[in-house]
Amino acid sequence: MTLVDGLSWLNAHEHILGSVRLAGGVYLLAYGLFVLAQDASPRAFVRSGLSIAAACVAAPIGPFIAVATITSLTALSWRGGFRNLQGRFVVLWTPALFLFIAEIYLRWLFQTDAFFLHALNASRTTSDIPPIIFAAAAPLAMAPLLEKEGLRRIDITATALVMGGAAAFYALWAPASVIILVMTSIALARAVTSSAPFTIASLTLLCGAGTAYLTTATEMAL
Amino acid sequence: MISHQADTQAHLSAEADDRQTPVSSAAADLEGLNVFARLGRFPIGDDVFGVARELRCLYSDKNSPSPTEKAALGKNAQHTPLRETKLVSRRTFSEALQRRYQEKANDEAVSGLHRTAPAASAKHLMSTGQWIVAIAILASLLVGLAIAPIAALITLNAAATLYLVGAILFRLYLAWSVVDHKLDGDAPAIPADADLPTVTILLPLYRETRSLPILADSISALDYPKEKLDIKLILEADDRGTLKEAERLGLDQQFDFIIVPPGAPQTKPKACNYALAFSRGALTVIYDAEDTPEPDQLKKAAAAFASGPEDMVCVQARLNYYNADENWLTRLFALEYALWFDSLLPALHKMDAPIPLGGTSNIFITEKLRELGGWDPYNVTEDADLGLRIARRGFRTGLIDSTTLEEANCKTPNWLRQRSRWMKGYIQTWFVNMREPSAMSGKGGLGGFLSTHMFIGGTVFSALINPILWAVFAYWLATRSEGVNALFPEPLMTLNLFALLFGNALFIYLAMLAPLKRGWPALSPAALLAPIYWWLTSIAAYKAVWQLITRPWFWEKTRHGVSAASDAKRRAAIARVRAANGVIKSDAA
Repeated sequence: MTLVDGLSWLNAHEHILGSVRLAGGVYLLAYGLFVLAQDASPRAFVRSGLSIAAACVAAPIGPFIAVATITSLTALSWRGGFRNLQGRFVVLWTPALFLFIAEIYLRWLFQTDAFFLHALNASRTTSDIPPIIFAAAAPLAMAPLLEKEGLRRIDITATALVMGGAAAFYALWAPASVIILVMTSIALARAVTSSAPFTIASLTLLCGAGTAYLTTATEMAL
Repeated sequence: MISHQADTQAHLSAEADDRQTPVSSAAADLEGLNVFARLGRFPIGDDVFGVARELRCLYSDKNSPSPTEKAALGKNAQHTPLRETKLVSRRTFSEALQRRYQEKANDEAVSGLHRTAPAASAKHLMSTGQWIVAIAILASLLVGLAIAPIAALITLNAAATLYLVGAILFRLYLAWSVVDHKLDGDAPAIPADADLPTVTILLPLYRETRSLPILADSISALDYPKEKLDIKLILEADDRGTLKEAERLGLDQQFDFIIVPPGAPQTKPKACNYALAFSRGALTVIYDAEDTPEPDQLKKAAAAFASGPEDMVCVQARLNYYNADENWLTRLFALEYALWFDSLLPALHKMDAPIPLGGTSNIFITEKLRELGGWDPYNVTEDADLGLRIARRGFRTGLIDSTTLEEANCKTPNWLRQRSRWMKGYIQTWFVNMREPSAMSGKGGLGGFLSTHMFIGGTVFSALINPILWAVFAYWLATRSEGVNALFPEPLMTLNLFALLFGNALFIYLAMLAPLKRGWPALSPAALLAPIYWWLTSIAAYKAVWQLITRPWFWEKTRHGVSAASDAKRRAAIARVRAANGVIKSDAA
């Protein structure tokens, strides 16, 4: 059995494995976030990053939104000069980034959609709501660290709330991605050109960046 | 050897003459003088008479020797050797010592290892047996390509792929094995000052006027009893600039100036060997021109030797960079060092594999270092080579929890010069060690054997084949050529995919994680640029191969003191060093 055969088999049994994948994804994501909530050590970031990447395989939408949130926070850290925090965020999303690259390449190579993130296209349904809730909780899970590094609690809470709302909105209604993309562009332009501290509004808009980028880019690429 | 025996006989006969005179009272008179307890490996004796006889001078580090001591020397002295002996400055004494033994020390430095253990020397890159094997492999390959080119190319591809997959899995294993390793683990208790051994510090420099103040300042800041330090500033005879700078800084107050005679090969290991001949310390350590060791590093080394196994003859401190955050190149360089010294080296140590030493901050038991033959003057990564020789001879290298910060190369051409020298040295080291492959594992068994191949030969091999594999991949992406497809039958294709997707991701991620142990997460994002760094490494590898053919022993000099970060350090260091050595401010300009 080749790699493609194996993944095709999984694909063919998606209807049976779907609930298992979803449960696994939720568990892995929850685990990753739990680890971060308990411990902000470098090792916790690594474990959490790998868990989130694994969750991306199991139930892609929610974890990808978590990755998107983290990506947004990375941009925030960079903009705010919190370079240590930025480094840790990069450690968090890099495993998912590698998976994403591998997915695109393997799909193109074998002309199949049977790889790790197969459910990405298919599962824009209410069943994604549980992982989305977990994804939205990512900033809250990291709150102790974020606060220690200088972010305000109100910004962190706002990030979590808006992220959850935007993600749920996206999961239920595809054109939201376009709206989020436009809003994100405006937010990024503001962030780059303004020397003023980040406001909740720009933070809110930035939170959609990763989601819009990853999902839109994936759909376009495939 | 003959000359050594002759010296010894002459000395014994002179000692017999001295026994005919009552010398004990004179010896007591001279007790206060700093006659070096041990003058290197020469048969000069440990007593003042031996020294006086050979050099006609003695040295005191006291500001004013006592009248008794003064009276014991010169024309009024009671004993013959002392009548013709003068009390001189430290530097004059050192120069006299070097003049007396220059020829012998230089001969030992250049030819000692090759004479006593020719198989351990890189003077000749390949042995006869290695030539025969190489020619046989090349001939088989050519015949294969002529008869069945596709099968031959698939075989080559399979060999390269298996190596890459093995390297990926091995690195994964090493990283996993030290996942709980902490940089500040349990350290042995540091002995009391009175119990600390004398340490010789070798500082080999060549055209390092810019780095010298920082180095001198760092060495002065070492937390170690000053009277137990024997510091050798090792300069090449044609390097007047660094000598003048050393004089300007007043370093002759605390350092011995060792001037290495001219002659090929003009390499750092030869200079170190030469200075080793004059070393007095029970331990010997090397620091490079741009080094800033942690102040308690030597004490930690002494503690490690005091509590370590008897077969441990060397300890290696960790290295990293004080200008890690200067630009993308220094960040990647720092990530590479963090991965090597903070993760992979502890993993190798844990599995008892041979430890390829870094070029600096390795501390040896001097006697054992001499027994091992010192450094190979013909090998341009003499450090890695010596680390492997230590393992081959049944000894062990330990690690200490102490870091030396260096100046990372911040300019690409300079980085390429340094890296190509390292690559050339790795090739030399691999060939030298492959003369006796069964001894390569040290005490580490199969793991030790694999690690030596992986980190010495494999480093160069990977760098050489990477561009070829990427070029084939790019060509295939552009053309989807059937010809290329034929070279990747199914099992090989899956392995290649694994190497491409998982291998690259793993190497990048390991580099990303490396600085976290050190508490430098700001460096992690730079790991995403690692593929660019790998390309530079490949360029250096090809340059190294070319140089190995054209100039095998050429030591391509790395320029130090070019970092912006070193400017501020240098200014502060100059002031401190000159003040410490009593150099008045008016001549500072």
